[in-house]
Amino acid sequence: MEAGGFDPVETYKKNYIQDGDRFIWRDGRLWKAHTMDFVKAIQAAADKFGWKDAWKGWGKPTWVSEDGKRARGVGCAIIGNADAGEDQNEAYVRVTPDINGGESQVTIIMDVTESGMGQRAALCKMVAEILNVPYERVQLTTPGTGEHNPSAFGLCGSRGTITYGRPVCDAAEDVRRQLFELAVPHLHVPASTMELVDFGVRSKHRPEISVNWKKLVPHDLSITGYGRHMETFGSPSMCIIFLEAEVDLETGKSDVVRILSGTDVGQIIDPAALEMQLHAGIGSSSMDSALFEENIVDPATGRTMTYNMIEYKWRPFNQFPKFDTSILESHFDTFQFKAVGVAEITGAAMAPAVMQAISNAIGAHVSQYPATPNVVLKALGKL
Amino acid sequence: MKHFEYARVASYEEASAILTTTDESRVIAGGTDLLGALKDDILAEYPRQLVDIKRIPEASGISVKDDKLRIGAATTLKDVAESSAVLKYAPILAEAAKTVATPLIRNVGTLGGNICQDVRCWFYRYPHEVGGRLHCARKGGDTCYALQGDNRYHSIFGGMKAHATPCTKKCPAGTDIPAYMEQLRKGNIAGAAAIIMQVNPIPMITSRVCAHFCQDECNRLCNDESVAISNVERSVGDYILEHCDDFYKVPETSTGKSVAIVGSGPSGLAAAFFLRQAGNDVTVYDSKQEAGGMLMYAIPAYRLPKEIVRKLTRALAGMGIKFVCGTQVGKDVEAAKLEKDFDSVYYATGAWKRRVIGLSGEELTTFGLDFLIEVNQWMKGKVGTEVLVTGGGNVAMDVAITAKRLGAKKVTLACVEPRDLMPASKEEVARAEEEGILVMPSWGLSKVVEKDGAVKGMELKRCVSVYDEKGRFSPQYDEGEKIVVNADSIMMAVGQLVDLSFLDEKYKMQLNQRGLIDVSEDSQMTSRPGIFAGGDATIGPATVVQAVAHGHNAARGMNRFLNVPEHVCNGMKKSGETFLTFDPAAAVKKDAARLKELPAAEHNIEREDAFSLTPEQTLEEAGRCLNCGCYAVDPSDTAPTLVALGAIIVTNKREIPASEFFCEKLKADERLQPGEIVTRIDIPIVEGAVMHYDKFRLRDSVDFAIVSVSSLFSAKGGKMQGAKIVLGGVAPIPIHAKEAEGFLIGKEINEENAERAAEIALQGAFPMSCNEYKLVEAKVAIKRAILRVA
Ligand SMILES: Cc1cc2nc3c(=O)[nH]c(=O)nc-3n(C[C@H](O)[C@H](O)[C@H](O)COP(=O)(O)OP(=O)(O)OC[C@H]3O[C@@H](n4cnc5c(N)ncnc54)[C@H](O)[C@@H]3O)c2cc1C
Ligand code: SF4
Ligand code: SF4
Repeated sequence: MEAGGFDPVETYKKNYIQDGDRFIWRDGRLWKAHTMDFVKAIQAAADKFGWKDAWKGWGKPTWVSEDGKRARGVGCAIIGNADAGEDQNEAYVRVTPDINGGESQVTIIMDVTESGMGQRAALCKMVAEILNVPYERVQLTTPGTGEHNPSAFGLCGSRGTITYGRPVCDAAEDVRRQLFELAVPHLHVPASTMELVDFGVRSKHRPEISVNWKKLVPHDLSITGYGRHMETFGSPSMCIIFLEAEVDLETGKSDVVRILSGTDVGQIIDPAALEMQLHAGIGSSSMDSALFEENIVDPATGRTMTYNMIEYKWRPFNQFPKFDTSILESHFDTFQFKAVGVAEITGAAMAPAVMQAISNAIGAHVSQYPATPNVVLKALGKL
Repeated sequence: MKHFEYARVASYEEASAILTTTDESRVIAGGTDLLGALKDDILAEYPRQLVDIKRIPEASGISVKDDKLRIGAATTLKDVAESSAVLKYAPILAEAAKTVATPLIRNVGTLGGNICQDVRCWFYRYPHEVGGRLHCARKGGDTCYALQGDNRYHSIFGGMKAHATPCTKKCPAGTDIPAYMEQLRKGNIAGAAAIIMQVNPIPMITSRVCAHFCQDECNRLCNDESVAISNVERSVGDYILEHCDDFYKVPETSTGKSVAIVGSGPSGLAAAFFLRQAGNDVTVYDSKQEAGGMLMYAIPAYRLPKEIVRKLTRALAGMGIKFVCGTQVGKDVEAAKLEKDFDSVYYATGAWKRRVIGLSGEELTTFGLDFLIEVNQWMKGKVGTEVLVTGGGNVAMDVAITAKRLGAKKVTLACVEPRDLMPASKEEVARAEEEGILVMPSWGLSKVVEKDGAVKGMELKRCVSVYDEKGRFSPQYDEGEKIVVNADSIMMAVGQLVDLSFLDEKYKMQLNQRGLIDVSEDSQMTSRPGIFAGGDATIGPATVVQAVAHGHNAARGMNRFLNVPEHVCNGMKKSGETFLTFDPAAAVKKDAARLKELPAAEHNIEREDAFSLTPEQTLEEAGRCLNCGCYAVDPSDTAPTLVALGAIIVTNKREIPASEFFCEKLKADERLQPGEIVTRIDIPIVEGAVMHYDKFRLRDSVDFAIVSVSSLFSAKGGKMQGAKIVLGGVAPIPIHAKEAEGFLIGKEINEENAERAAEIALQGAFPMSCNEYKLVEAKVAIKRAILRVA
C-alpha cells in the first residue's frame, strides 16, 4: 500500500473478504465466505474517526506543533479471522418441570469455560429467548466436570459465539420441537402454529388454548434436546483500528492520543460486554507492543529480563487514551443469532496501526517493535 | 518469603539498639522496596530482623522551622507530594515525589525509604526463584552483567567500583589494573605507568617473569579469553624504561632519614624505590657483583634480558639510591653495624641455598640454581649430552630449557607431582615440552646411579600421592615401580632454602615455625623495632611480584616507623570522584593479544624469545578490559532533587549534606553507619527560583526515571542569574552539572545557550552498547528545563 501510495481504508474496502469470496484456510481446504460483507463497517468506522481529514498520505503528519517539536500521524490496520467457526462442540438443553408450581427449570449441559467475557450469560440468554422463559430460569452446568458434560473445546474465546451458540440454540430448538409434538394431542393444532409462553405451549392463532409443560412431560422425567457445531471456516470476523499517535521529535517518545475500534459483529447479544471487549484491544501484547511493552531476553545471559511488571511494561488503567467505537449490526448467516465473535481479534491490529501512525508522524518508516525512543531517534537519524 | 523477626519500635534509640546488636537486621518503613527485594530473594544474605520505624512519633510530619523545611523520614510520598508547605517552599520535591511509582505505592512508601532504596538494575533484581539470583559485582561477585548484556537502562557516565576487581585482588602487589587500562584507552600511557608505579616500580620485569595470577579470574573468562594483562603491562614497562627520567626521579625534599636494604632482588629494589621516593637516604647492599638478585642471576636471559635489569638499577641509582655490591652482610659488614648506622634496615635476602635431600650420590649432582647463576661458565664447558632435571617448578623449567639450549641432546625433567599439581605455570611447562624436553610427572628420586664416581643416571620411583589429607607435602611412593633414566648430568631443582646465617647469635630475630624471619603482616617489621624483612627470606621461595609487594609494604611500614608521610595509592581514593569507563566497541574482541615469538629454531639463551606488543596492539588489548564495576543508576527520584535543593540528611547520629550522602558512595547500605537511621530531611528554603523536576520514562503511569533533571533557576531580564542542575538516572549517583551551571550564569536564555549548556552537562558521558539514546534524552530535558524559564 505504501509503495503504491494507496489509502489503506480504500484498499481494505476493496480487498477484505466478502460474500462469495473463496479462500484456502490454514486447514488446507477451500472455503467460501457467505453473507459476510464488511465494507460498510469499514467506511462507518473511517467516517466516525474522521479519517478523510486526518489521513494526509504515507509518511505525512496529520499535525505538527507550532514549534515543530511534536507531530501527529494517523494509522489504520485491519484484522480478520475465519477461525470464528472452528471448534466442534455439543450441548444438551434439558427442561425439568417444577414439582410444585407451573414453572420449569432449564439447564444447559455444556462444557463452557470463560474468563470474564460474559459468554456463559450470553448462552443462557439465547436459550431463554428460544424457550421464551425468564433468563433467571436458565442455568449452565459447571465447566470442567467432564464426566457429566458433553465434549467441548473449553475456553473457545470469541469463537464460542458461533461454536457454543449454535449447539445450545439447536438443543433448545430440539426441546421446543419435542414440546410442540407433545402438545398436539392437547391443542389439536399443527405444531407449526404453536408458540412457547409462560412455561407452556399455546396456539398462535387461538391464544386461549394452551398447555403447561408439566402436563406434557411424563411425571418425574424431563425432556432433553441435543445440538452440536461442526467446524466451519466460512464466516470470518473483522476489526479495524484507527488511531492517532503523537511523537516528540526531540525525545523520540511516542504515545497514542485517540483510538477508534470498528467492527460488525452481526447481531449484538451483550452490548456492554462488546464495548469492553473492543476497549480490551489495548490489552497486553497488543497496542503497547508498538510502544514499550516487550519481552526482553538478555543476549549475554539468555535470561528474560522482563520478569516483573516494572520491567514488563503493561499499561495501567490510569494511562488509557481516548477510546471510541463504531459497531455495525448486520445479520450474518452464521447461526440462529446471526452473530460472529470479535473479542479475540480486537487487539491484533493495534500495534501495526501505531507503527503506521508513528511513521506518518515522523515521515520515516519505523518497523522495529516496540518503537521506543531509542528506535524512533534512530529512525529520525538522531542516533 | 523466608522467616524474619519483626519489631515495631517507639523511638529511634530503641531502633538503633536493635540494629547495632542484631546481625542482619534492617529498618523497614513503608516496605514497598524492601519487601519486594525479600520476596524475590535477590540477596544472598537475608535479614533476620526488621525494625519498623513508622510508629516513632516524630518520624512522620512536615514542618517549617529556622528557615528550613523539615520532613520526617517516615512521611509518605503522598504526603510529601500534597503538602502545602512542600508545594510552597520546595515544589520540586513535591513534583519528584509525585512521579514515584504508583498512587498505591506513594500511599505507603516513605521519603526515607525512597532515598535509601536498593538499586533497580534488572540483573541485580533478578528473582532467585526464576533460575537463580545473579551474584553480580555490586553484591560482592565479580561480574557486572550490564557490561556485555542489555544495558538500555544503565549508566551513561560510566560505573563505579563496587569493590576491588578480581584481577587486582589476585595481583599480590594489588595493581589497579582496570585503572591503568583506562588511562591507556584515553591515550595516556604516562598516566597508566604512574598507576602501576604506585604499587610496582618494576613492571618491565614483572610483566616478563610473573605467572600473572591477575589473569586467572579476569571476568572476560566468563565469555572468552582473559585480558592479556601481562602483555599490556610489558608495553607500559618498556615505556617506563624508555622514559626513566620521568619515573625514577630524585626526590624533591629529603627526610633526613637513612635506610639500608640488604639484598637487591625485586623486593629490595621495590622497597628502595618507594623509600627513596619518599625522600629517604637509601643504601642497598648485595653480596653479588651486580644488583638484581635472582632477576640478574637466576632468571634466564631468554625470559628476562639482563640489559633490562641493568637499565633499571641504573635508573634507581639515578634517583640517588646507593648500591654497595660485592658486600656480604654477616661477613663483610655486620648486621649490628647496619642497625647502628641506619635509622631502619630491610632484609630481602631471598632464598639461595641448596636443599639437600639426602640421596645416595647426591654430591655428584649439580644444584640447578648454581647452574643458572653460572650459566656463562657452562657455556664454555659442556652441559652433557643427556641431562636429567629434577623438580616441577619454574626454576626446574628454566634449568631444563637452558640445558637444552646449551646443546644437551636429551633433557628429561622428572618431578614428584602429577601434571596438574606441578608448581610451574602451565605456559612454562608447555614451553619446555615445545623445546623437546621430556616431562615425567609423578616420579620421585630414589638414588643416583654412578660408576667410578661418574654420574650414569638416576633411579626414579613411582610417586602415588604428594600431599597428606591436611594438605602438607608428604610424598608416598610405590617402591615396587622403579625406572632408571640415563644421564651424564643431573640438575637438582627441588627448591631453595633461605640462608639466615648472617644473623649471628647476638643479633636475634624471632623466627617462625618454618625457621624463617617472622614479620608483622601490615608493616613487614621483625621482632626488632625498626628492622624489617620481606620476600623469600620471610616466606620461602615464592614469586617476583610477591617480593615486590613485600618491598612496597615494607617501605610503607618503614616510612610510618620513621614518621615519613606515606604515598597515596589508587585504592585509597574516594570512589565517586571519577566514573569508570570502557570501550564498548573494542570490548567485543574475543581473542587476547599474543606476543610475537622468535621461531623455535632461533631460540637461544641470550636473546629474549618474545617481542613486546606494538602500541596499537597494546591499545587494542587495553580496550578489551571491561573496567569491571557497577554500571547501574541511582533509582530514586527524590535523591537528585534533594541534592539540587542542598538538603541535609539528618540521622540519629549526624547531619550529612545531600551531595555527600548521595554522591560519594555507591551503595545505599554503605552510606549509613551501623545502627544509623535517617530521621529527617531538612531543606533550606530557597526564594525566587523556578524549580522543576522533569522525569523521562517510557510509561508515564509507573516507571523509574530513564533520565531526570532537577533544576532550580533564577532569571532577570531574560538572563540567567542562578542555576542548579542535577541529573538522575544517568549514573550510579546523581550528577551535579556544575560546569553547565557556570556557563549559564549571565547568559541570555535562548535555544542556543540552552543547547550549549546541555552539551556541557553531558561532556564526558560514556554511553554503553544499548543506551546512547539516554544521552539525547538528557540533553533535551536540560534544554527544555532552561527554556521554560524564559
Ligand atoms: C512498582 C514500583 C515502582 C517504583 N517506582 C519508583 C520510581 O519511579 N521512583 C522512585 O524513586 N522509586 C520507585 N520505587 C521505589 C519506591 O519509591 C520505594 O519503594 C519507596 O519510596 C521506598 O519507601 P519505603 O518506605 O517503602 O521503603 P522500605 O521498603 O521500607 O525501605 C527501603 C530501604 O530503605 C531502608 N530504609 C527505609 N527507611 C529508612 C530510614 N529512615 N533510615 C535508613 N534506612 C531506611 C530500608 O532498610 C530498606 O533497605 C518503586 C517501587 C516499586 C515497587
Ligand atoms: S550494573 Fe551493578 S547492579 Fe547491575 S549487574 Fe552490574 S554490578 Fe550488578
Ligand atoms: S576485564 Fe579488566 S577489570 Fe575486569 S577482571 Fe579483566 S582485567 Fe580486571
